[in-house]
Amino acid sequence: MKRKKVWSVICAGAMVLSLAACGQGGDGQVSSGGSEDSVSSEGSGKESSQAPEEGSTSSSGEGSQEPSSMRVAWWGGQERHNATIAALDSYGEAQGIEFSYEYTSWSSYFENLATQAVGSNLPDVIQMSTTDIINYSRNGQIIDLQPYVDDGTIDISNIGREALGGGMVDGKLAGFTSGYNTVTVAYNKEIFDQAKVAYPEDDWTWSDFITTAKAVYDATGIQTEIPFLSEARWVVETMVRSYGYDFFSEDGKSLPWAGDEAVVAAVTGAIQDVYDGVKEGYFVDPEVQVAWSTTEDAYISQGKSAMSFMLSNYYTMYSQALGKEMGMVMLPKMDGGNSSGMYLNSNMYWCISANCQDPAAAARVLNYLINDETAARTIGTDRGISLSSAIRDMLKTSQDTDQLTSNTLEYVDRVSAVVQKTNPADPANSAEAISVLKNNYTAVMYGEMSAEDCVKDFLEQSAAILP
Amino acid sequence: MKELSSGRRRKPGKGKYDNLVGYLFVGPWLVCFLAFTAIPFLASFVLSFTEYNMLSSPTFIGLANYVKLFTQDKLFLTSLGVTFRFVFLSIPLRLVFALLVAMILNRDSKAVPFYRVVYYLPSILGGSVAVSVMWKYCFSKTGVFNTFLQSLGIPCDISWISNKDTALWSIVLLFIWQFGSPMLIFLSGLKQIPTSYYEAAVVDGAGPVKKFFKITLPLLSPIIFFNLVMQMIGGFMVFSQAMIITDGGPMNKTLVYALYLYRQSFAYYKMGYGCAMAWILLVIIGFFTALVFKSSSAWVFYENELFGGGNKKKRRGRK
Repeated sequence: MKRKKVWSVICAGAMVLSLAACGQGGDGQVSSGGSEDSVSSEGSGKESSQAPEEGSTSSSGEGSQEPSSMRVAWWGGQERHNATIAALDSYGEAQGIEFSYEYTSWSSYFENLATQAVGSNLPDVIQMSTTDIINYSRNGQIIDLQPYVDDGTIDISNIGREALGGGMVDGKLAGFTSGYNTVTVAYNKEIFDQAKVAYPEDDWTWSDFITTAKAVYDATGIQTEIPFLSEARWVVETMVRSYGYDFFSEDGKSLPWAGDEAVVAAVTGAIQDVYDGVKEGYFVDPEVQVAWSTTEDAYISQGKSAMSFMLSNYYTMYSQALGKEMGMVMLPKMDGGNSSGMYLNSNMYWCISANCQDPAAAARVLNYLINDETAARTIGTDRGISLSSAIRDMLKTSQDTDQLTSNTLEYVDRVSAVVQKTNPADPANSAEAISVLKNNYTAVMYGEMSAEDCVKDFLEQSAAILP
Repeated sequence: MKELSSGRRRKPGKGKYDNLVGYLFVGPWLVCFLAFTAIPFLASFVLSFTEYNMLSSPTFIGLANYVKLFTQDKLFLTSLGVTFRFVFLSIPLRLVFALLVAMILNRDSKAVPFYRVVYYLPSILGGSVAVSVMWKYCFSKTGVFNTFLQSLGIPCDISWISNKDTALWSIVLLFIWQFGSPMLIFLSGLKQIPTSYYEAAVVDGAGPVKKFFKITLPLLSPIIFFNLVMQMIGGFMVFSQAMIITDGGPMNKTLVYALYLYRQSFAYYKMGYGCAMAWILLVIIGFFTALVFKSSSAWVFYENELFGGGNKKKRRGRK
């Protein structure tokens, strides 16, 4: 009898298991897919560790013999897909390389990439983000590009070594910055004219920003978007930089500004200001803003908001959606801060994977993407502002360059005059810490959390999360 | 194939390769089962005791993942809470709705097959990304749903998917809308109930309500039981809807367990941790399934019990 009971439990268990595994159509993918990936890794772990050495030695001797095919992966929108494919196709035709493209949207990109990494099947050339590069580099999935810079495969004569710092991980050049990027406040000039409020200037302060938002609202009833509701880190980063701190410490183990009470208080106060604005109505309702997912959803591109915080490479896209040329101004500096909080970021990187058969050829592709004028003209400023001064000058003077692109170029020039160095790549576990800040910031705007708790909780949690 | 034919040339049914044909038939299933279920299943168990970022080989850390889950991870509890709310809201509603539609369709009419297909459509579409995206737009502030309410004269200015109180409901609603498969099962169950019972009840003067509670429901209880178990398991694993419509927001109000598991595994590169979470989910699903099985003797009613088919009951119960 007892045995029978055990057996029936096992049967029931087996049923649950098999159900849990196949699940309900799409829902099942998570659990089964996840574990499936982990299996194949055990077999392939060895391969991936030996691959890089072999690849780099064999290929450097081969000279400029091009491989017949190469895989390139990136994330982005349709515009980027079209431009990148066009640029690479023309290179491929000239060099006899057959490119295969693996492009996705941002949301599924790293999931795919991680799965490919497990199978030692990464594409040859990979577009990489600032948050993820450290993981791929530390684990030997992408190679050091330094040798190819040293031997001239990647030409940096118009770039300068210090500009490469953004792609450094543990002293290795893990990725080649595809372009600079920075943050900006884009403003709708017509609304400002209508409200008879003066356009903001680069040296404005946080309290100027709040009074401007309020003044425009009082005059026209038009709101301003909540600063970076989708990624609070970008606005908090400029705040702490105003006081001379980096967001993450150099070793990536802490937040250097966490101990400075004045800074913490100022950040708290600024977040409180935004919430006050939400309550009084001159900032957009967070419930509305949080639901935006495409360019067209945003009020700024519908002419329904006066100012919007955004990454500078999005300026063109939003201006096009609006159908008018917007103004670009730096983020306001903190009232008590001693410098501009602006920074230059590597927008993203080009990397070469460890299982690339011919890294030298891949490096030549990188060189083409970075230094070639045709490529630069095709891709424009979509991946940030080129590191190469030659390309920047070419774009500035070229007849084909539209007004929006030259605005972006001019803006980044203004920013780089104020900022000395590019941010290094984000530390390990930063993604998780940043998501805590994002959540807390949203909670404040919803009125679910006080600004004080938001900052305090973020500092506490990130202390635990960062290694 | 060679072995096959040589086996046949000897004495059919007695040779060394007797079972080969059988194995060949089972083979494809067995291979898939091993490759996509059994091995990943065991591997995830092993990996749950490791720190594994997918980019380098795993390192064994004992129970640390589990300890961290229960002692440090606030979001673990949040996501569990969200999932429980989701399951306890959506499953009963989905089953009631499925039963309701099944009863409406359970009649003799030439239009019934057509409607059956129509009502099944959401289930075919429902799990897809496109429908989730559509849902997102339907329930946004300027979406179809609000427009519809306004046309009825109900002023409505909520962004359903990003309001903290309604966000989970918008996902629950999508889940209920995909009632097709339980509906079909209910429908076939309803067709099995002999009409003579109803006729006898009508003769005895029973109304529709009484007929439903005294005849339909008891005779349908094995089907309800089956649907409940299946739907509950599906409910605990809800993922794509939450991921696409709300991405866990606002403020983690829709951070369902599977979505958090996915984030830990793929966005934060903690596959070992994710595997530990998966095993906890398995235990939870196992617990609730066992609970339903245990309680079934009290409310699941098999027709053959009427005629003392006690033995049979056990066999069917396990199916």
